[in-house]
Amino acid sequence: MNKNENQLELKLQAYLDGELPTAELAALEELLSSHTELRLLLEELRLTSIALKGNELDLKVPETRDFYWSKIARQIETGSRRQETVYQSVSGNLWVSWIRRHLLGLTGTGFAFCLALLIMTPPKQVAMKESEMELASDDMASYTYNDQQQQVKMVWLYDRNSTESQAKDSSMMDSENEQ
Amino acid sequence: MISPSDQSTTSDEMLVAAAKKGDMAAFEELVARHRDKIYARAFSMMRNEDEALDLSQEAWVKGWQRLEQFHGDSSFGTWMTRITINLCLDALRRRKRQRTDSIELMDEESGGVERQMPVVTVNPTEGMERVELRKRIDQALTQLSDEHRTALVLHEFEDLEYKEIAKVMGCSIGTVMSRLFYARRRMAALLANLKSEK
Repeated sequence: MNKNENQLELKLQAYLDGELPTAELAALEELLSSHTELRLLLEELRLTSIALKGNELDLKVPETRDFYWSKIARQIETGSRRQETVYQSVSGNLWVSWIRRHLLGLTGTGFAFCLALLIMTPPKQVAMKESEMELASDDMASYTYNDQQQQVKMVWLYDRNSTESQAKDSSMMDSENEQ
Repeated sequence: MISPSDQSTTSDEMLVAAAKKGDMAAFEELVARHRDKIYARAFSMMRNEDEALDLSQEAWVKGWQRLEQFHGDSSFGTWMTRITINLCLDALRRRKRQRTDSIELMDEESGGVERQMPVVTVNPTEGMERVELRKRIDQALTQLSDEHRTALVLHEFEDLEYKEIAKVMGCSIGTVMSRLFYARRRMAALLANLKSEK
């Protein structure tokens, strides 16, 4: 079977599925009227499609409602606890890195002045800068935690294959002071 | 918070709204309502009971975590099914990577034996009871490659268009058309064989 015949078969299928461009309809219908083999193939595809539609096996979860739900609930709760832990850890790290970045170079009076300024300044709104993150492997998955009140978004990665889905140390936080 | 006695009569939309506010009981009711459909979809793609069970439960956890992203553009069941399909596709990709010698890949590249198959001229399912037909379809689906079965399931059971299937499967529309074509032809032959065996 050559490439043209293969293309014709796919067009025939698109015709059956209502996905053939209108401009090609007339030409295909003309071919159909003169080629018995094409009509038979169309009929085979049509009957197969009809047989499949609505005839999926009616499967039930092979576990009781409570047992099935218990695993889901456990995973949801584990996820929430992990989010809290990472949030606390990242919050602490943020302060440390801010102080390192801005205050370590200062001495004496300068440090005291900045500290006083920091204490007296009311909290400002923090703008989120969202970053896109591409997962290098399909084995990795991510959880996202978004705290609107704190204006904080955290994304952390874990290995799907890990039985306990332990959070990796690759938590990420993006936040940027409007100033 | 929806009271337990009202949960069974509450609409999906109201349960979703309650779950978004953190009502786990409302979410549990949603799970109870849709769990069979979600499990069935996972099973139709994975063909393995344990994997289907695990993936369906993982889908529900993801559903809970992403509830804020659900705006009711589709039904809740459809939204959950999409999450399940994506998880299954990821699992199938992992499975494919683990295979050392992929017969399915060879089939796909060469067009498989379906190309040379004679056209099935009689209705392979004619005169069959619905229960029997469903069993045979399920049996035949097991014999398809993951790629061919997925294309068929998404088109025939989920009613997705070619471009939607291409998007979720991460391939071209041409590849989807090709996979679907061979999957249908193979199903026609398998159903005919099953009928003659009887």
